[in-house]
Amino acid sequence: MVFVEYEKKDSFMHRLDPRSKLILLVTIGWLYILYLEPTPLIILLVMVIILGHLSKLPWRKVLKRISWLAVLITITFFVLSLWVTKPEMFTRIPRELASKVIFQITPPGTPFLGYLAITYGGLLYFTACSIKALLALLVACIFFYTTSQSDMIQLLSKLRVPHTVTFIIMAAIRFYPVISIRLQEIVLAQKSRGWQLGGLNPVKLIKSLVPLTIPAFSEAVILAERFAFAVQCRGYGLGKIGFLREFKFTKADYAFCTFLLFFTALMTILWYLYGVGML
Amino acid sequence: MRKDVIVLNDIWFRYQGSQTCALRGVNLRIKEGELVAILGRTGSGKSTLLRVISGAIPHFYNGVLKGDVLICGMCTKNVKLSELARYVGFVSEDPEVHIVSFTVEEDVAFGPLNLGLPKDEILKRVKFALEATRLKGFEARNPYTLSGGEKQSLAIAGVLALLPKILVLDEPTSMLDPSGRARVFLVIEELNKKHGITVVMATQATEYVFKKFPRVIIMDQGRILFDGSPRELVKKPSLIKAAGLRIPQVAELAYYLERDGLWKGDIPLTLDEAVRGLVEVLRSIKYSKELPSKFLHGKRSPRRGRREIAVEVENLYYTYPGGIEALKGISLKIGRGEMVAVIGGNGSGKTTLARCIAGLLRPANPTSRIIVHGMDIRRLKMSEIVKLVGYVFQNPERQLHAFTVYEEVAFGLRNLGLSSVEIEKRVSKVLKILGLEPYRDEWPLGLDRGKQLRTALASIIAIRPKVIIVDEPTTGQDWTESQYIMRVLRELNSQGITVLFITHEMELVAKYADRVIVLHSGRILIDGTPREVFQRQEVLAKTGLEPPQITKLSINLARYGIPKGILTVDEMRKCLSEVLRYGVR
Repeated sequence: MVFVEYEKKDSFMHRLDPRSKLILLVTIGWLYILYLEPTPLIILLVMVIILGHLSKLPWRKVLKRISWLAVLITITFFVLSLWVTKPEMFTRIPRELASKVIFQITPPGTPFLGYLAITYGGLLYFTACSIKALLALLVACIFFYTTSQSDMIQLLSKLRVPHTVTFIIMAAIRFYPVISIRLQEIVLAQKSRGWQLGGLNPVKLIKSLVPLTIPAFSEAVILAERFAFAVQCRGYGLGKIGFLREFKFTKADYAFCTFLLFFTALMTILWYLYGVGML
Repeated sequence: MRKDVIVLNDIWFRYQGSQTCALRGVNLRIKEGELVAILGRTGSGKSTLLRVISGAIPHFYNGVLKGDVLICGMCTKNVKLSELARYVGFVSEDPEVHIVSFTVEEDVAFGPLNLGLPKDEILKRVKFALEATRLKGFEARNPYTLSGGEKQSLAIAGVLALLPKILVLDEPTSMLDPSGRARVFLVIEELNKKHGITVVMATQATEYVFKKFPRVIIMDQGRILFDGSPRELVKKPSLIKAAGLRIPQVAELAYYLERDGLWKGDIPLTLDEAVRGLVEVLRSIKYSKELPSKFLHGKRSPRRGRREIAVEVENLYYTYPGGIEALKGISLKIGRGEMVAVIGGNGSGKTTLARCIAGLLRPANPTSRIIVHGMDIRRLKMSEIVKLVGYVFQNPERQLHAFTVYEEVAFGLRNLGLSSVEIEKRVSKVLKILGLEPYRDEWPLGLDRGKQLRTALASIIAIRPKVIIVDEPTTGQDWTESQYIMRVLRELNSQGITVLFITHEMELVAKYADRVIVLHSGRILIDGTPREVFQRQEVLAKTGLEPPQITKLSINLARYGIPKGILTVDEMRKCLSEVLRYGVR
């Protein structure tokens, strides 16, 4: 998994109602879309780091998990920033400064690639996008680390996702480790008879997958059949599924959500009236 | 008077697409609070019978059902399966298919939540189910972190929370190690005795059934062959043989002694009964205490020490990606042509060790060494390793993919690039060895589990590896099939192939292995001949293992001069015959 898995801990974020955490995702997501300039994004990043601290997030593990993705995203944004050369792309910072070239890669009118250069505006765009990527990864980590799978299922139910869909998602999440282990078994079993993946030739590759796909499909069908029978034997289908421990919106949730909504509203107004966060 | 909770009147059932009937005119009545075991070969109709009782037939499995099935007075045809759940709880052999939720408590609550019960009632039922299945204190645990026995107990707790009157269990212990089995049997016994739940269980664990179950039903070819008490059953050895049943070793011993005119009383069902009976006889005669032990001299001596090395493992450590340390510094040598049993509880490292030897798992530790027939496994390609070590997986259905048995067996040979003439020659030979010739053109996944395992084994034997490793060849197999597979392995071994087999069946270990390696928490606990290993009961107990019943009998009779290390019924019979024939009354 890219993000850290849920761990049962006693932290401020763990205690929050998953709906509050959903509001956090939505508000941060909104500001994420809004802002293109690094300064307010740094403020958001600091806030998220504080929230991470309040979640008792295992930082070393988090950085290990997201580092390769962060590097990949950073490289991608850097490459994209090379196209940020036109002054009309900038509204808030002086266009002459934004489009000032630090290093030219291809001259204007180059076929296919166009005009590529490292500009001040491009660097700002690159920095902002990288911070945004880090922000998104950290928020996702906080959410997954502090919300149990059963809370997520209950959250879907509260969001009025149909009961059958919720149950299918629950079964899929629950069966993932079982199917994953059994798939590994199938691969090992075929390897023990000299099976190898069929190289780069697409026909050979597909043909070589047959010894994996047939047992995998058969295993999945058997599992699904047995599971369907097992849940019916436990009364599934008699009524709407409930949850043993329902969420409860506490004072801390009200305070947290009020702060989030107030902060988001303020930042949106600043963006709208004064162009805060625009490039 | 107790009323009938299960009534089956002239039941016939044929699965959709099948030509033959799985049940043929079954009549059965089971009273409230009864404890009933269903025994029989694989494919005898046990599971189908349980499906009929649980309502899976006709609601879940399609086919033609004739006759009436009444559960607590209700005809199952007229009641929804989920509604029947209030009366019958069903638990299958695979506990993982029963896990629905993310914590033990939520999982147990799943059923009562479906019934729409008030929260207080649900919590009360969850508490009851967890206590009854000895899972109290596990509430917040992720079900996947439980051991096999605990997972099966959780599956039972899940249906128990619906407060059913009947519990139907289909081979609930077939995937468990001995300690897991003991746990599940204890739970089942308590549910029946303390809570009065009617239990109907299909199983191959006859030793337990003969000890605890007052009623036994034997199925054969879709019919009830026998319905009565174990005491009545043991009086019918021909019927037991016809049904391919495994009977307690002490009963088998008594049959032989009775035939030789050396046993007069009732056939014993349990170890205690056999000990009592034999002590009485041994006390009544005078004999030299050396007389019985003379018999064992020179039998089943270790074959190690004077052979070339087939497998050498040195300082083997293996840690899974999740951080679980499966092997912690294993070092061992296996001689060419040895037949070695690797035993231990679930999670002891047996499979990991075997897979490392077969090159399927590569240890990261640079100081670990695995040498097979002089070749360093870690430096070989998989295509080279398979010619040295063949590995037969526990679940054959997870590797069968071809449309005919022939093609399945030829799969490994084609991967090695052998000519079609050579493939034809080898496959034909192996099919003959494993009795698969009649099934040559059949679809492997359509065969019974025993034939599936034979097909998987055949596909490895055809490659002609120098070492064959078989992982739990008896899981999900009946006794006849288990014995068949072991005889094939013994035959291969006699041709010079080194065989390693992993099993929880101590009777098979005693009968077929030259050497036993006991693993515990990733380390070798004992390594010796079966005779040496099974005498160390207290060390074995650490791993939840027990010696075979006949060895326990010999240990119990040690003070009467019977040697402690008796491994098979035949050895005990010969030993006792010596005493009983030549002793003076």
